[in-house]
Amino acid sequence: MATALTELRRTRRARRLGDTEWFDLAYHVYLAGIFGGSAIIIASDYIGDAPLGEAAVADVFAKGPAVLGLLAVFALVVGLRSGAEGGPVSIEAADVVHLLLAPINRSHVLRRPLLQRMRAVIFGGVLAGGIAGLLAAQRLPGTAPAWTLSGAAFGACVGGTFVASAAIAHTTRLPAWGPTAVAVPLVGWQVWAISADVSGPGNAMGSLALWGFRQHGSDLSGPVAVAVVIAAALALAGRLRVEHLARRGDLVSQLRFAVTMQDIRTVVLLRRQLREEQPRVHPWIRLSPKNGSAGTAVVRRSLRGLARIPAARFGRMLVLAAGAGVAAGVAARGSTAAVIACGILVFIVGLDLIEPLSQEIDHPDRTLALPSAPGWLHERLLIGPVVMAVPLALVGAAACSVVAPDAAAAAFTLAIPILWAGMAGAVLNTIRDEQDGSRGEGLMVPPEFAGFRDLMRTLLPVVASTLGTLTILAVRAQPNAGVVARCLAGLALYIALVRWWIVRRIDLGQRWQAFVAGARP
Amino acid sequence: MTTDLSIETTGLARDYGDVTALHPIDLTVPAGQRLALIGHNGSGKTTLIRLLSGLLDPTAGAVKVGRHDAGSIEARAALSYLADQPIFYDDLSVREHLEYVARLHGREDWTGMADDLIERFALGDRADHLPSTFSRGLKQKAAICLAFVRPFEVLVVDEPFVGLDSNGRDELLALFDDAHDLGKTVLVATHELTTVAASERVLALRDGHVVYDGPPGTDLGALVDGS
Repeated sequence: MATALTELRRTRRARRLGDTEWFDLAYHVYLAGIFGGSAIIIASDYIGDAPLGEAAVADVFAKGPAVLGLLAVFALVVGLRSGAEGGPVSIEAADVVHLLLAPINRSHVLRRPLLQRMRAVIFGGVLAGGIAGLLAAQRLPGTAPAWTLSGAAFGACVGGTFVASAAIAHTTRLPAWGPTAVAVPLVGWQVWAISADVSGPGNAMGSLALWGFRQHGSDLSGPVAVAVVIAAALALAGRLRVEHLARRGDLVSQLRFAVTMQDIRTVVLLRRQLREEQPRVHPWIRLSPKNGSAGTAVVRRSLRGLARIPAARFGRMLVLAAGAGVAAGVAARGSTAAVIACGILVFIVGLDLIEPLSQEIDHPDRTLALPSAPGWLHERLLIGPVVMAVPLALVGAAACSVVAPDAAAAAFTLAIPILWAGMAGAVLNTIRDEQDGSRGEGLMVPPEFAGFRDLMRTLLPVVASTLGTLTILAVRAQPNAGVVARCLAGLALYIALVRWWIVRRIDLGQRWQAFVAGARP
Repeated sequence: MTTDLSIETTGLARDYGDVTALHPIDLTVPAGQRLALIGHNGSGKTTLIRLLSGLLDPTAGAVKVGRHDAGSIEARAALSYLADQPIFYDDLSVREHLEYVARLHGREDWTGMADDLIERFALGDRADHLPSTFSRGLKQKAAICLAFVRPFEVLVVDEPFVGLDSNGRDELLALFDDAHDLGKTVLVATHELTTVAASERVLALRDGHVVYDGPPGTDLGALVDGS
C-alpha cells in the first residue's frame, strides 16, 4: 500500500512539472523581484545609513531582545490559535477521501504536507529576517553578512515556532480557549520584560537576532527549543484531525485562488470559513418583526446582520480598532509611516463592519430584482455599520490617547470620522466587482497594462481608507483646535463625497458608457 | 460487543456550534444487514454517516466499526464510504483513480474488478478521461466505481442516486444486492423512499432524533414529514 502511495506521488509530481508554465512562472519571479527589490530600496532609503550613536546602540542591545522576543511570543500564540482552529496543514480534498480513509498509516500521509508547510513558513521567516538584518546593518555596528545571517536565523526560529506550535495545538486538540489562556500570561510577561529590566520568555530568541554584533551562548536555547518542538510536531503528524483536514482542503485551494485574483472579499469569506466563524444563531439583540417603509426595512436588515456578528469577530474588530489607535498614536508621536498601518487597520475593520452591504453585493440577482435603485439600497445598508463604528472608534481613540496623551483631545474628536472614512475603502473594495451591467468594454485595457490595473484595483481601496488617517499628520504638524476643526470639515466632505458616489455611481457609469459609445466613429 | 455486529454506536451525538445535528443515538447493526437511512434535509443523515466513516469526530459517545473505533486503521480497511459529493484528483483519470484506491486498500488483482465496474456503468470510452471534468451524473458513476473497487465489509453510502440515469441507478441497486448477498453490511442514506423497499431495516431521522427503527413496511413518507 505504501508503494502505491509513493508511486502515485511520483507520477503526479512528474505530471505537475510537465504541466508547469515556466514562462508564466518566470514572469511571476520577475514581478516579485521588481516589487520586492523596490520595497527593500524604499525601506533602505527610509531607514538611512547614518550609524546610530553609542547611547542609541546601547538602547538597541538592551531592549532589542525583549522587543524582538515579543515577535516570537506572538508567533507562538498565533500558531496555537491556528492549530486550535484546524491549521496549519491543508491537503487536497481528494487526499482526505482516498488517502486518509485508506488503511494506511496516516503519519506516512501527513508528515510530508506538514514538512512542506514548515519549509515554506521557515523559508518566509528566513527571507524576512535576512532582509531585516541587512537593513539593520546600515545603522548598527557589525558587518552586513553577520546581521543578515542572524536575522535569517531569528526569522527561521519565529517561523518554526509558529508552524510547530500550530501543529502541536492541532494534534493535542487544544481547546478554543487554550491559546487565550497561554497568550495572556506570556504576552503580559514579555511586555513587562520590555518595560522593566527583566528577562521575558522570548528574550533568548530575540537576542539571537542581535548576533550580528554580539553573541551569547545562552541564546542558542531558543533554536534548540524550536528544534525540539518541530521534532515533536513531526512525530505527532499522524494525529492531525481528519475533520479539520476535510474542512480545510477545499477552502484553502479556493483561498489561494482568491489571493492570486486579489479578490479580498472572497479571501475574507474563506478565512471566516477556515476559522469556522459562523453568524450567531441567537443574535445579540433580537429586533421584532415590524411594519413600515422599505427604507426602514433595509436599515433593520443591516442591524439584524450586525446583531449576528460572532463574538470572535467582534473581539477581532475591537483589537484591530485598538491597533489602529496605537498606530495613530505612534504617527502622532513622529513616525509618519504609521499612518499607513493605521489606514490598513481601519480598512480591515471596515471590511468586517460593512458585512450587510457585502451580503447584498454577493447576491446581485436579489438586488436587481428589487423595485429600487441599488445605490439607494446600498446607502441604507451602511447605516447600521456607521452606528456600530462609533464604539469601535472610541476604543481606537482611547488606545491612541495611551500612546500619545498629548493628542487625546484630537483623537476623540477625529476618531469617529476617521473610521467612517476608513470604511470608504472597504465599501469601494466590496462594490467594485458588482454586476450592475454598467461596466464593460469601455474599461478594456491592453494586456501590457492589465497587471498594473489589477495592482491599482487592489491598492486603491486601501489608499481610500488611508486618506482619512492623513489628518493625523496635519494635527501633528500644527496641534491646535483650528487645524482639528479643518480636518473635521475635510473628513466630513470626503465622507459626503463617498456617500454621493455610492448613491449615484451606477447612473454615472451608464452616462460614461453612453459618452464613450457616442464618441466612437 | 459480539463479533457479528458491524456497526455499533453508544450515545453518539454531534453539535455544530449552537446547533445539535445529532442527538445521542444508540445503534447496533448486525453484520450482513441492509439498512436504509431516511430523513428530510438537515435531519442528521450525513452527519451520522460521516461519524461512522471517521470523517467527523463525535461531540459525545462512540462509534465502532467491527470491533474497532471509527477512523482507526482497521475500521478504514473494513468500511467503504461513498460521499454525497464525488471528490477526485484533478490530474488522475478514472482508471488511475481505480488503480490507486484499489492498491491503497491492498487489492492487487484490481484490473478485472475495475473493468467490470467500468463496463457496468458504461464508462469505457471515458476510463482514461479526467473525472474532475465530468458531468454530475458521470462523476457519481466514477465515485461508485471507486467505492466498489476496494474490498470492504461495510458499505456506507450517502445519497447515491443523485444525478444517475436509469441504467446507473439499476446497476447501483444490483451492486447493493450483490454486496448484501456476499454478506456485507450495506447502509444507504437517501431521500428516495422508493429505493428502500429492498432494505431489511429502515432508520428514520428527524431533527437529529431517531423517529423510527424497524422494517420498511410502514408509511415512511409520513414518518419523515412528521405527519
